[in-house]
Amino acid sequence: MRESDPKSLQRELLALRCRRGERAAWEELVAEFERPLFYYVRRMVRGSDEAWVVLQETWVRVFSSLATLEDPARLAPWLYSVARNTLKQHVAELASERHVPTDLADVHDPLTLDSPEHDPERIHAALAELPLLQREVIVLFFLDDLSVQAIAEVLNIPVGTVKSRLHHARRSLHEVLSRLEARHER
Amino acid sequence: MNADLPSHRERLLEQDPLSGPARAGYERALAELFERRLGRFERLRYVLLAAVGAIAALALGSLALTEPATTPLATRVVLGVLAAMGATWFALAARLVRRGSVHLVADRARIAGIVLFFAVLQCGFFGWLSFRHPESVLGLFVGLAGLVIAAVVFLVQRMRESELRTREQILRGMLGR
Repeated sequence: MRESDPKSLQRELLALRCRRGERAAWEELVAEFERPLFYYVRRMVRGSDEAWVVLQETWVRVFSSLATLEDPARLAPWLYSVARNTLKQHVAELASERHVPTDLADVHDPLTLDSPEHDPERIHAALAELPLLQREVIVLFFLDDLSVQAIAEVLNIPVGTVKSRLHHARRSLHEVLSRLEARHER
Repeated sequence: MNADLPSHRERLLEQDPLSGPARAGYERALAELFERRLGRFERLRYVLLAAVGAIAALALGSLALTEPATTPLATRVVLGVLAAMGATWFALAARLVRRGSVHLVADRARIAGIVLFFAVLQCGFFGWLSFRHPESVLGLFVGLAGLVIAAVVFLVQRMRESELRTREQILRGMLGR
């Protein structure tokens, strides 16, 4: 997404209004980003209750630290970064309780969402079978709020790594979809 | 980026219904970002503040009015200002208790405004008094120190606000609003 396109400008305006403490702007911000952030968070945790807890904490952090957003034009990647950091902390806390591995904490060509042979419903079902890191990068890509550059910023990894991770994720997704369809045909 | 396919994105997002038992708690927490409900202890704190404010306003106000005519004007002014201060805190605390919640942005701004207003009054009063009683200059310095801090905070806030407003106007112009 280019930074001077209308969508980016509107988001920058929204971020500025939020920073000035305008309540209506906050409601707009939540209305615009709640669903994609919930979708992203939900793909990373076990159940919807856990996802709501993480999302709630994400908004609390956004509320208290929006003034630190240096470039309001980068609102979307910044929101995903906050959500991701909240997720990392949540996963780490759970790991210390349950003694499970924290692969999200180490995170630093293609099938597209519009591929005619796969509808979004099937892609949604297949996402659950991908490894966590691949699932994360492809969900961020499909949610359409972020460019590859912005995804790199959110994940704190180089653009090349994002591209490579996306490539592997799409290949895995293809395999899962083929397997699911073969199972369905039998 | 596949930005030209919003319907696919929407269909994907619709796979996750925005519901669940934890949703109610989430919505409550979001609402509390702006307006926090008063807990039992916080309510008690504001009741106490209202009571102290009311007692101070009544006691000092009646003293200001009933002191003998020989009482110096400065003493009367001090009593009057302190009574006004008590009445202001009473009004604010009573309002919060009645509403049962604190508006985190608006009420903080009100409290800051009250503190600033009385700091200005304190400076004005001690400034005036120090002409006749040089020993009261200490009160002026204390008031001035508070006033300088409040003024710096206020100025930084105004500069940031003005910067944000300017950028907002530019953006509105670019978007043709």
